[in-house]
Amino acid sequence: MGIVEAAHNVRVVGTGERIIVLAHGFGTDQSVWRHLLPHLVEEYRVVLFDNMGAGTTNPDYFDFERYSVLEGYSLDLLGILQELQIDSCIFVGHSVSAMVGAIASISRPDFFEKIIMLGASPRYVNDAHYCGGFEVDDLDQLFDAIRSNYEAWVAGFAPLAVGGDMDSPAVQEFSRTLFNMRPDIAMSLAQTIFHSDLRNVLRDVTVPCHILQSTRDLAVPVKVAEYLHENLGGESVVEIMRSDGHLPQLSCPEIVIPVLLRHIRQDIVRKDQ
Amino acid sequence: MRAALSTIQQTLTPEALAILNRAIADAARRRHGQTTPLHVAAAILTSTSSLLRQACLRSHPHPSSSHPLQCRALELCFSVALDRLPSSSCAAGLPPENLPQQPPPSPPISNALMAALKRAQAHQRRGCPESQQQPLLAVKVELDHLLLSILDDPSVSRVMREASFSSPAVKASIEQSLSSSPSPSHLRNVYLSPRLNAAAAGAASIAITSSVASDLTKLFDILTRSKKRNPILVGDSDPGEILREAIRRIAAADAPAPLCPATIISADKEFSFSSIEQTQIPSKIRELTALVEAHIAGGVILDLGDLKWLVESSDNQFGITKIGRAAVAEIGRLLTRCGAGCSSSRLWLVGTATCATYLRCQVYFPTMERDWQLQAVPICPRSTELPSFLPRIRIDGIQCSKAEALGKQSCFPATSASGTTQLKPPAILDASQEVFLCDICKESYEHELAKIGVSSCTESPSLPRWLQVANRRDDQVQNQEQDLMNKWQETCFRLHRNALPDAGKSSVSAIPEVSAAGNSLPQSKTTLPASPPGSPVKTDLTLGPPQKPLKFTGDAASIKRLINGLMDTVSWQPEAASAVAAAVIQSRSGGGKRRGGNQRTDTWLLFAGSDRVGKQRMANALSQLMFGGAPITIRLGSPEDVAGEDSGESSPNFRGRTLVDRTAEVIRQNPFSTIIFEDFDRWDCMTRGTIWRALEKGRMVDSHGRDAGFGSSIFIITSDWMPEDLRVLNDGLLRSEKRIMELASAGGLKLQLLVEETKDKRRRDSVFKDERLIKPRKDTLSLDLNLATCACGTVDEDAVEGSLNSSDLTMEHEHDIDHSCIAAGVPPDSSSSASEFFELVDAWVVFKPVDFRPLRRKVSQSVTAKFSRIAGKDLCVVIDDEALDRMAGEIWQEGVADHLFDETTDRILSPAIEQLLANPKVGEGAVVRLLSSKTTGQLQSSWSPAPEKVAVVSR
Repeated sequence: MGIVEAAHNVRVVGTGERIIVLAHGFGTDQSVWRHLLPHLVEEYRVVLFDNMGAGTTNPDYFDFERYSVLEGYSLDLLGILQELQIDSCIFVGHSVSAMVGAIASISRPDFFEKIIMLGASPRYVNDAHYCGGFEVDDLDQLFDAIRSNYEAWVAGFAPLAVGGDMDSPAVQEFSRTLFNMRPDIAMSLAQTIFHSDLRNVLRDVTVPCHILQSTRDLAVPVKVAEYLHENLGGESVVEIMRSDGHLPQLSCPEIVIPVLLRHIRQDIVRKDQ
Repeated sequence: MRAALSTIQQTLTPEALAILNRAIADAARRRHGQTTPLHVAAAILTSTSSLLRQACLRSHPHPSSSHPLQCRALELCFSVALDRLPSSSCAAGLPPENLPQQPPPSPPISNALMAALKRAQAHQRRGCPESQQQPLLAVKVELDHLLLSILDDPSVSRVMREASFSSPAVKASIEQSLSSSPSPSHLRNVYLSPRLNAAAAGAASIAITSSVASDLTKLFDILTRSKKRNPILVGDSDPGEILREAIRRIAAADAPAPLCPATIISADKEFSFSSIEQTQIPSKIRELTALVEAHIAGGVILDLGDLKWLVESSDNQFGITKIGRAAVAEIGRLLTRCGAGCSSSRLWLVGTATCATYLRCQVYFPTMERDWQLQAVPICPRSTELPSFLPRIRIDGIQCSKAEALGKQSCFPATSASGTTQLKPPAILDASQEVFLCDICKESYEHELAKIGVSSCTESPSLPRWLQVANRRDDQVQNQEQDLMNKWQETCFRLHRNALPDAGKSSVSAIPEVSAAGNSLPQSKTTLPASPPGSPVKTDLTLGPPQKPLKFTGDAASIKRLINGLMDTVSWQPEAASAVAAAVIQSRSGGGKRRGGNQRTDTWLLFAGSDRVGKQRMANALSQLMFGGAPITIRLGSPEDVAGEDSGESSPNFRGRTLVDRTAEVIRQNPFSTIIFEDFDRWDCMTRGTIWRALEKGRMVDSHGRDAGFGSSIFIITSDWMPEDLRVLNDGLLRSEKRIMELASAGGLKLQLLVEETKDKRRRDSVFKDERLIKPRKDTLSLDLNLATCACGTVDEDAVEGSLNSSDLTMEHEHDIDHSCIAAGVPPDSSSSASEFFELVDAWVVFKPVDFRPLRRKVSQSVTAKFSRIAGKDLCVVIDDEALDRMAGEIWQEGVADHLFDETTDRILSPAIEQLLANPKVGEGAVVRLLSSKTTGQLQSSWSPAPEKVAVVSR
């Protein structure tokens, strides 16, 4: 196994011909796909990996400069695809990874058959003509909280993000993976994510995008899905799911998994065809 | 071996094959038995192109100080190493001088070299994307890859090290030039993080100092090479500074020769890419190319400035890539026209970028680095430094707080105790702490310590890796060990008090004062581990046992200690004591009642029965034994009942706060303590409901909605109720008990000595009857009862009245019936809420009525003994029943020990008796009566707490 596969804990499972890459978001690792994975393994070859900085990766490999922009993660993704000699894949990205995949697709559109974005947002901070869901002050408080007491922040943030109470298994699971991250890395990553603004590259994303969004999501207002749809350079389709929280594949699998499978299996039908 | 060699030879490119052949020839010339990687390395080093030599120079930690001579040193080292290799055995058999003309046979390839060649092949194949379809032999190993795998060989790296070169560093340097090479056969993973690359190469020794001088040297080094010679300075700490310095030197001709005549065109200054509209960039680029081509004859250094303009656009209408790509392509074409890729090119590009910008360029213009022949030069030293990274943000705060949080979990009780914060004996911090553990506790401690070791080992994989890497893990284990030691030390200290010599004294006198136990609410805040007042070792209070729950780990010693402690303290209620101990042990060992379906750690006991003193003592002793402190009493009775007492219902502290609030507050403040809810029988239905719900749920919610968890506290509800059969059987005892307690609680015991001259007066019937209560034992009163009569009304009739109704029938059977504690009996069905309580509590313990006869006997004996000792046997002493009861009651309540009682009677009675004897009326046959006096202003002194003297009244 090469250094890339080892460093990202790459796992390839399943027996199908087409390849699906599942990319997890902030504060989780590949285990976030546990409910989806069983439905895919007979039809596809599924590539799972951990983003650098996740609790399951070696923090020594976390280059604070490389990962100060999402493009660093995009390079990682391209590196994994190239290492595995994947010519084309269906990319399922959750949260920040959806945008990471979109950026990577600008560089190598040939790698991406289509991108399925789950809870994606090109920018989290509100703007004059844009509703990202957060004010600058909110973020400052968030960063202060992470900085002052990571454990306490995790305990508070996890239920908010997942949209359940502290006892629910999904919250417990998210707390676990979130707490596994080294605090300084989590801080850096949170800053990178919440300060990112990828609105001006959306136009360059030309691969088809399927935008899936929870109805109630602390991190991403439903309007953002619409914004993505309007501004992405290629074909896109939006589906708003009747699920709660930012990690619906973990907290509401019964709603989200069927939707994900439908979007994985079916392509966008062009109107002019 | 020959066949193997020919196969290998087919897999090499001509260049690599030439090197291998030279190595074999060299080995043969030196008459070595085998051709080793050392021969190949030496051959590569001496070859004309000498890839190795360049890589060595590039990799050197201090490029400025590197010198061609160092490579010469490397050659020498290899030469020496080769000289040391043993000659072949065939050469020994056939000395060279015998066959001087015959060319030596080519020595076979050594295993190590064969392995290196195969590695090179594997490297090469991985580089080719289409390799899977290609037959094995179609992939030819290039010299680069041969060199890379040769460098992996341990013998080669040893020699390199001797010449102060690091082969991983050299290897990394070669890989870097490979990865940036546009040659399709060199397709490597350009997306790889530099960290991973470095980790893969193991090039941990590369250390680049970031002084301006060394950066400049690096810069000129890149500018003067043939490939990838256009440096982009990448860093977040003003990389432009170094670029400006470099340009200043070039302009001042203070730079390597090929650069000096070049014209410097600053694209950013002259065309201001960063400030113009994106749409104008293409036309500006065209102007730029024209300008460059006009000056190309003398060479041009095109300063692109900060590359930000390529990837950042304020305009959302146009994606950045459309215009950016056009610009990249245009400049790429310009470079091609000017002969990029060959060393004779006269156009150089220089520029700066932040890390983010450069990363974005890599992503959005994937071909730019190759087309522009760019070499990224990291300016921030950190970006190339390896695993020992310094994080960007100050993480100390975060990590500290996390460590703190971990610490909090492990020593939780210390923070949650009430007012007392310092709970741990200072001795715990001593290194020599093990001394204080007795053998039993030490064994238990070691047992648990072993478990910690196991659990921390098994848990470690689930811990984030950084926790395992850092020393913190060890600290954590150490903390756990420390906590465990503390725990056992405290337990040992509590259970086997002889262990801690100093602190022992203060705590051995374990029985707290009754007054201390009677703490009402405001005082409870400052409840400390009790120590008898006036204890000489008061300062040792902080050494007292902390309010940690006592854990019953199946340790027989701890159980025994609890039982014995309770038995000793409440010796007259042995059944109750053992029942209490059993209930507590069962509850603490996890076998408690599952209230509300949950396993809980709180223990609820119901003390029933009339023996108030016994219940109080039992509660005190239990609290002391379990938590090392006095219990907290909460009176929940209705206001009428407590109005007379100073329970503080009207205290300002309670204003505006409900009873539940106060209770919850006490519980919150005292998570590890014994809490007594007094007088269940007087609770109103609201109170009963509140406590019942709390008992069921394991927590109490106050009127603000705040929770008060019960933790591991022990709750005791006291009630006067007792089973009907017990009540009926002990009616007489109950009455006597009630009377005595009423007398005692009336307070102000005053005694009189009354001298009666007439012997023939009969005692009042009432007194007589009362004596019958204790009649069955003839030795109850040693006084001459038949003569002891009193006609006067000094006896408080009201007090006596209540005790006149016992029936002879009951009395006769009284002692035949075993009135033991009936813990397993039928709960009272008098009220439904009460029976619910009985079902929920861990145990209800009935305190049987107290038989005061022994005490009375003891009192009378003591008093009589005093008289007879002082006045002689001829003086007839009659102790009035009431006086006897009151004395007994006082003694009972105060818990005065036997020997103290003797002293007290001696101290008080002796002067009075002597005074009495001085009275001339007291003569032969006189009867002296000891009476409980009324407050009539006579010369009397109070018994309570210790009457100084007894009034002597003569009639």
